[in-house]
Amino acid sequence: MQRPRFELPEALVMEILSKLPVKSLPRFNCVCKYWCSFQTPHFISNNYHNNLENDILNLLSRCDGNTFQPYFSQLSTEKDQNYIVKQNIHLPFFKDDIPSVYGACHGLLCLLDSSTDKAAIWNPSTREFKILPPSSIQRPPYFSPFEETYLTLDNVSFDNAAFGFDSKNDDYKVIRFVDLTFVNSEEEHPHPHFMDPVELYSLRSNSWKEIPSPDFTPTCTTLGNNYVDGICYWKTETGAYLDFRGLILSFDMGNEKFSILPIPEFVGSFPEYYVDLLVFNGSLGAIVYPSQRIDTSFDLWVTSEGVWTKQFNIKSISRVVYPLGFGKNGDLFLRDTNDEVLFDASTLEIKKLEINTYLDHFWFAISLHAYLESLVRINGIQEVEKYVIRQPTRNASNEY
Amino acid sequence: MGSTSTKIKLRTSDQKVFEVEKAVAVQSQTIKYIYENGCPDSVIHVHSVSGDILSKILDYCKKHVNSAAGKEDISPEELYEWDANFVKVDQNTLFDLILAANCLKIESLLDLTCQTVANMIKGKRPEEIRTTFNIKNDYTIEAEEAVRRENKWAFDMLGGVGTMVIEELADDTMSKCVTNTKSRVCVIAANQIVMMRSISKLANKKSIDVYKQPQNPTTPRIKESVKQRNVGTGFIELFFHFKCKM
Repeated sequence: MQRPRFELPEALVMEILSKLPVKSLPRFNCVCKYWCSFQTPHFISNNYHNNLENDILNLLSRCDGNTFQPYFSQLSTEKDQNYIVKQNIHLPFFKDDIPSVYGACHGLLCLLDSSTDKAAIWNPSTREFKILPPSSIQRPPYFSPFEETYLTLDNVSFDNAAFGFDSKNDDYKVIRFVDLTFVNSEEEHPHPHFMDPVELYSLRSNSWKEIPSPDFTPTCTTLGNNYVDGICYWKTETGAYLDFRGLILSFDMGNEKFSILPIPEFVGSFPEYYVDLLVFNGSLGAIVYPSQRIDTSFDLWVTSEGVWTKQFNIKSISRVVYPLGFGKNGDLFLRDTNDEVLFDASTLEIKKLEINTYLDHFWFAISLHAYLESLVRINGIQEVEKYVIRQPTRNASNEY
Repeated sequence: MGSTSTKIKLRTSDQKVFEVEKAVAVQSQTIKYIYENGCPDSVIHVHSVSGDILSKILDYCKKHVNSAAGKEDISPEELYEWDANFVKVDQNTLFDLILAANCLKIESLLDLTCQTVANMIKGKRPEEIRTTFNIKNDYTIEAEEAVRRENKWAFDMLGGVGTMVIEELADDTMSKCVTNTKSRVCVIAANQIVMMRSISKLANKKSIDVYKQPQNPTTPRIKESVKQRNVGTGFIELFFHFKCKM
């Protein structure tokens, strides 16, 4: 490269840098001192929007069949390479338990342990890892007037949560449902009592606070991300077996309020169908498929302002156990009885992906999480081996 | 006389005068503002732009106006190709275009030229960036080292600096490095330089036999085969396979 006759003004240099992919930028921190500080929130936001057209990166959350340790496999973005595994990311921070993954939101993921209150926010592109403080939920002694005795806390679990952005306050928040189970330890077959507090974490204040819980608690996980456009969503339900109705519980990150949305019967109802919520092309939607598995066809529905429309249908795929989520261009990642496969939306064929999860532990808990690269800062630390270990695979290529 | 055939006169920094159709000239928000708020007949001065650069910019604006108005039968792919060829200029001209597009407020041209430079510098090292933008390195050696260490992983991803150390030349040793096509690859084994090869000579060859230059002329030659694989724009992955040939 030649030395130019003049210097471009800083503002134009920043304009050029904002068009770079995220992976080029950390290297440029050592160009000069000013460049170490150019990543203002405005620059980061510009860069994120400039890179929206870039490839979505996919992480497959899984558990090693030999060591029983959880890890992520980062898939290639190349469809003609069948999305092979490019690197494996181990998480010693979460020992023994596969963490639940929430997000991505602006390129950030939130990882939560379901049995301890270990939690972290992670930017996989800049390799920043932020450990969240412990839970704020008080666990006071529970007096049961019926049994006329104090009950002991038998179990704590954190099974449902969401991670998103509050644009009003320019803050990233994590909402977490806590399930407390109390029993009378004197009894041989104690009757459990439950409490379901909810807590909210704010990145700005780096603290949790308890918030009033809604009337419904989430009952199942969403496929991939459960946050879109300022609101988080979970599946919930009401009624007994015959009166069963699937509902959607939503939480607005800005005004911190819950609401309920119905799922119309024509979309699909339990027990004939599974309705898996997901975010599709910027809207809330659901993949609906029959629970009988005789003829597994998938319908994709999308909802906007209470109106549900069927986007498309994928017919009869045999041996498929459950969907994992969509990739680019409407390709659908699926789990069959042995491994991950891809339904190619352009050729309408099923392709085997060579991810080889048949030896994994908990293969039925494998999930797929998509994120875009971003420079968003989270006041964390750079990845250290104590928490995150990256292992490129043999056929991975180095990229700038 | 319709407004579409109105002409606007522009005078550049080097006193060249251009007469252009209004529709083309007002692609520049700056010119549009001056035209709408001044005397429509007078000449507009574009002080900071030279005749050569303005001429190129007007070509760009004309092409885009004509394609949008349907005056020219050109598909989006063809326009994209035209744009790609438009920015195939030397670096000084490219920087001149950026400054001019910024000053004349032609957003699409500014985006195009900035993206072109971004693509050029994507895989570059900090030293090359400083040369490109004429930036002085104001870090002390220790400070720069500290910053590099903090972002070490980002440098590792760039691949070897074109130097690869192989501990021993055993039979069937397979070693690998990723380097960019402009580097020289210097393979060092046990403190001896085994091979230095300019990568440009390796371009387009699937495998090459190179012979070790022995320190001692009586030592048998070792045949290495080098296979290469394209892994992305301007980068290749080299596999060195060492065999002893007696």
